[in-house]
Amino acid sequence: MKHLLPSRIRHKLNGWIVISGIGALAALLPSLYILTGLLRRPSENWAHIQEYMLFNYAWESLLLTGGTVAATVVAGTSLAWLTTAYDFPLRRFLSFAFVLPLAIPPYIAAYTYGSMLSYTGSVQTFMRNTLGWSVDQRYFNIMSMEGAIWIFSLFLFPYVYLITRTFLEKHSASFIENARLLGGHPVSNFFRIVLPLSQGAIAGGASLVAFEVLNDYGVSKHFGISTFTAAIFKTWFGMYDVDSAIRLSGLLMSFIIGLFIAERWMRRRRRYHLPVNRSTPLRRMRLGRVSGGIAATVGIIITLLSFFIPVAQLAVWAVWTYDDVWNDRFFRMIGNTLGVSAAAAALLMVLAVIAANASRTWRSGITLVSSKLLSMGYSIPGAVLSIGVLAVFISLDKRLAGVYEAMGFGANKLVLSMSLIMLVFAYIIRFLAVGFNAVDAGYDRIGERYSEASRMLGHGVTATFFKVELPLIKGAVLTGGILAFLEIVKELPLTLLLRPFNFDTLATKAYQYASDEQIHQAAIPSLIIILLGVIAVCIYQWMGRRGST
Amino acid sequence: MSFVSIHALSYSYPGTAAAVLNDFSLDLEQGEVVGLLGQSGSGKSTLLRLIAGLEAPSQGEISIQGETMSSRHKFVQPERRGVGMVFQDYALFPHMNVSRNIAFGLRGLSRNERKNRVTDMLELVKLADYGHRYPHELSGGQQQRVAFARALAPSPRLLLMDEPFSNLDSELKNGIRKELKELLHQTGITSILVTHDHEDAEALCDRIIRMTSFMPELQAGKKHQLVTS
Repeated sequence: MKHLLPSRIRHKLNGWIVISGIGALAALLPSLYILTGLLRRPSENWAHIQEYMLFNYAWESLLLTGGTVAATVVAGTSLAWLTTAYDFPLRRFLSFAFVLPLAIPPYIAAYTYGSMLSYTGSVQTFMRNTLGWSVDQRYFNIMSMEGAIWIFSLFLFPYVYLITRTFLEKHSASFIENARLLGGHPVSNFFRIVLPLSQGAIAGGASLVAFEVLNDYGVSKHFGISTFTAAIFKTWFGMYDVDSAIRLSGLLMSFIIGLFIAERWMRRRRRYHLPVNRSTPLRRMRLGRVSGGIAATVGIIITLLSFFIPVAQLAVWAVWTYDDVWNDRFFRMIGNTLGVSAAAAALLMVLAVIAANASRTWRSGITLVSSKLLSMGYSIPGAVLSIGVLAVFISLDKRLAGVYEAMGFGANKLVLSMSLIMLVFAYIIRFLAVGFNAVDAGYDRIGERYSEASRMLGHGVTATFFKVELPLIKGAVLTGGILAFLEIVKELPLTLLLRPFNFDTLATKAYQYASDEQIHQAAIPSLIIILLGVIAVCIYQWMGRRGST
Repeated sequence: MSFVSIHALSYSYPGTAAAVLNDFSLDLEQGEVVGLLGQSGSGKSTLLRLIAGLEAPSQGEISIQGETMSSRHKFVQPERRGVGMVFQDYALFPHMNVSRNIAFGLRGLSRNERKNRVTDMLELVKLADYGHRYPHELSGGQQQRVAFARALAPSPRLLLMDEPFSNLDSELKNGIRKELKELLHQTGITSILVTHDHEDAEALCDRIIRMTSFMPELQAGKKHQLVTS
């Protein structure tokens, strides 16, 4: 087999590349299964779904995604520009605080705000009892499309903000200073220079926002919006029609692949990066007293709404429900969450390191494609991935039926697809990109010289990895592992669909409390998730600063 | 038969049509120090990487002591070629001290033998007291000498040097050139030196090969040989 390959490829082939190829194939299986579902014969329900529901799902998903993307682009870009180009009171604090909303998963924000603003919630109670105001309920009902867009925008804008800010800080100084010297008005500079320059970065952030919205299940379920993901849940668990659920997933996935390609394409055509290391940071202009005050006030309001108010509300609820929630079962659940997340994150990092190493030894062809595919796993919504993974595992179980029988489990048993192995496998596919990117960045920093020097001194690829590369990239590996771990902890739809019976994690428990109208009880698990999220945000910030020096 | 034989070697970067090296041949005698002189882009570093096994040629053959290293049917991995290399930026492992850097390539030796070899190498490059220092605690010249010691420690058959002087101050260069000449003389090792500075090549090499991908340029003196790649 080996001699069939072209000589140049053959010479660089090693175990690492073979393993990462197999890994990439395994990661692709669920997606392939779903896409081929589009080619199978539809079930009898499909005609009904197609006629009465499909258009509605597509329209609501599109509206939700489009509305959120538009709002996050406007908010994220302008805040990024404000904090990079201008100096005003509290700027340093705010430029960090604008990232904090990422620590709050939108589904937690949704039921927190939903409950806070309801008739019996803290806001209306305060207005009614203390201020004596009676309010029009219409203005306080956020359980609607507009409300969902508002929630998503408030908690996802940091994606656009962060990527655009990083880009502007690193690459824009000379262009913008030139524009200033040429006498351009600040506003026209923003529209004529800054926006076109950062188009790629904005598109990158916006696509992350879109993927998050399409992945969501918690918000749309709580607010009663019929998105594609909600529809997949409904056909699967409401109609027990797995085939139609797969078909819906296939449609959603085709749409996402299109989005993914569009984003890559946009970024490809717009490469404005200056040669590295030549750019100096932009000198911030000091805002006057009035405009500086306005900027600080707006910033504080955004930060309060997008982080501190919901956290404070959750803290109050946590105090109320402390006795009720904080017990042995809760500890067991924390143990479940940490255990399964740590196991998945550890396995994921092993694969991420192998894949990053392989794509480095052989920077072309298949490894490049498979590393792109790995990063696509992140954009497949949890519900879609779940169906694919479940289908693959059930067919695996069917194939292994003989083995199970021989081992004494009995015939026709579902062993793998009832176990945590399936959930861990799904986590790995979905978050491999997080680990891979961190390791890849670590490899980029050390370059190839050390590895080449080690090879020249008589050590093979594997010995070189353990003796030279791993000690040098261990920081990056650890960072990637922590980030992947934290992503897994807060993942909702995937866990909800693939967990074994009675297996609860912080995320599923919080969601379950909230959907059982026990919203106050959801506060403690939510706060723990948020705390872990804040840690993740701090690591991102720290990584960014290290990367820029 | 020559010690190192390179025959009809061609190389182009993956995905590009333009060849960096085209039908290049060269023979080295044992103990010979050959300088490859040329501007950037002339393919001299690529040639070094092909001999080292860090790249695979698109065509042609390389053999050392009659043993084929690269050909259409065979490719010996870099760690099995018995070739030492001094990199342009030295590539000393930052997480190991000088002694451990030098000991890195020593395998199949007992603890004591390894220790002795490291001590010998440190003395050879006049850094006997520096074994416990880390690379970042050394000056540029000292780092370069450690890089030589590390490359020579496993007694390679062939030593490759990729612009070893480019990171040094010009005042330092003269002294170091002399030291290196002595070192190469002492070890008697067959070497290839890649440089863009003809003074380096003149000072150190028995034979100089000018590589150019543009206009052929003739040099006076029988030491010189011109090769168009």
